[in-house]
Amino acid sequence: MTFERITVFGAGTMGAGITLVCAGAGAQVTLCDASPEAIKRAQKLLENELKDYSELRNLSREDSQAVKTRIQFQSGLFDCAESDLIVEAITEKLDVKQELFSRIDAQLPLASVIASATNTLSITTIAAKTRFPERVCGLHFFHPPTEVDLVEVIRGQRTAEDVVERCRSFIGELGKESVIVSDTPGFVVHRCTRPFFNEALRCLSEGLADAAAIDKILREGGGFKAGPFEQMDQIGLDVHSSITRALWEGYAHESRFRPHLIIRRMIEAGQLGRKTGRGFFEYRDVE
Amino acid sequence: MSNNQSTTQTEFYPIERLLVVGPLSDASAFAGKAEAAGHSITLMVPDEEVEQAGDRFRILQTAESVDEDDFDVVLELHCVDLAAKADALLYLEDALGESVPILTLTLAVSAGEVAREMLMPERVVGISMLPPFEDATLVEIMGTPHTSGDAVRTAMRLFESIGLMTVSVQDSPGGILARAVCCLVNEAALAMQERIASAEEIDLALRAAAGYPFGPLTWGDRIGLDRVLMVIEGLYAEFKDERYRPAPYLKRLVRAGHTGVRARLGFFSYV
Repeated sequence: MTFERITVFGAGTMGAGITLVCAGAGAQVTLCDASPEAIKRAQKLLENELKDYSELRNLSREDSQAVKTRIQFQSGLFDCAESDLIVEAITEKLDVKQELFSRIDAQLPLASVIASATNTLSITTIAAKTRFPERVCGLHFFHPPTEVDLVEVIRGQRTAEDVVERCRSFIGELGKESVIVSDTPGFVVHRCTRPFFNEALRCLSEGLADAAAIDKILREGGGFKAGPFEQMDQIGLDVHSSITRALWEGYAHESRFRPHLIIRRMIEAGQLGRKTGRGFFEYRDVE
Repeated sequence: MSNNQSTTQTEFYPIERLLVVGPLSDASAFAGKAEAAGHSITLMVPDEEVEQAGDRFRILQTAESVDEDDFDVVLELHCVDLAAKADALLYLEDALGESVPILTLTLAVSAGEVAREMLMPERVVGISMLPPFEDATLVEIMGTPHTSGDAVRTAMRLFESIGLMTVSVQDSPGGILARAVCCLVNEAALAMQERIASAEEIDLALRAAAGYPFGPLTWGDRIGLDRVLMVIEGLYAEFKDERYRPAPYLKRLVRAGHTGVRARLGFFSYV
């Protein structure tokens, strides 16, 4: 494999999913998090996910066990000096990411690649605080990483071309497709899906139809897997809003990315979608 | 609405004899769908397209006089050539009996804009479908404050009779589906123009990561980039909001006649 030894930082759902995908493809992966509790949660999560992952791919008991043994966990102080690839999937806060990147940078051999799985921040900005911004790029996995077979490889302003190419080969080895995108707000996917949500919100606020009818029109008439409102409920309005806001700010308040008041009010009211039992629709199965 | 009422309505609002007005490709695409449902169909196409029209459907020449009672319902499908749209509507209003509903495609202008030029706005119903019409599965039906209930019910019956779902929405240019999809195409055109990724990669990313049925650039080529541009410009004219600024790259392609699949050249080449 292009990268044999991988360290993933951030034991949330994305970090855990990326860990599983990499270990599943044959790499040795260490999942690191500053918090021992987060590591414990991730261990449990991975236990379950590995079951689904193995079933879906018809892995034998031995193969499944082999994937498990390729995953290690580390909390608190970290040591990644042996890694070929670092994937950072910690909280979406620039200063926290930059701090981590400068610490990683200090102990890493020069041939290694440092990737951020950020979905909203600039790779160029994250890389700016490292000694070698040429080896920093973005690897934008989608949720859940075990199921979505596409990764955006983000080329920062100073990312070296061989880093991009090695990442592209690596994503192929994970059994996924890659697209190479220059470092722009929202990259391709979040940017180019914004009108789907924003126009639906405009149509709703203009009183053209209610949320259920708009969803039906786009699902049944457009062939989208799910309507915009059910999708926002699924993603969570807080997550949706942070992406939209990042685009709006990244593109200097261009009106087509303008966040909608409806979303702000719903967030203020704690109606975040499926996870809170109520968003644009009600979910009785959620406590 | 009770079942009883809708059964009665089927007798009062005939939809048997259909006149489809518009560019040949669109009119015949829709007529092909309606034909299977047993409607008697006549096409009215621009003069320069009459010769290519073949003999699958009866063709009405523009100069030909129409008897008041010749048609039950009219579907007017112009969306790029707005002058042709205005001419056709003027002609139809004059030629058809007062009770014949006129269903007009509102991709680029609202039904209200159309209706205010008409002597009898109560018969005007806006309809929005996403091209290419041969693939349409759903129609948005838009009344104006003047539109009669009978005209709306006739529209619903017509589309349902040929297997299309109908949803009632408020009158607005582009309706909901075409508005959302054309804005997706426009955003992808901006991304392509800025070269943040290749055209193929933009399409791949949205199919694979967002589950879209088509990549937005391929979708635009299928719809027809001239129509996409008309929808975006219609939205701009309606809302005067910068969000509906067409991508300069999209305008360049349309001006060059590279309007997509039918032209064999658009965002992609189909030669």
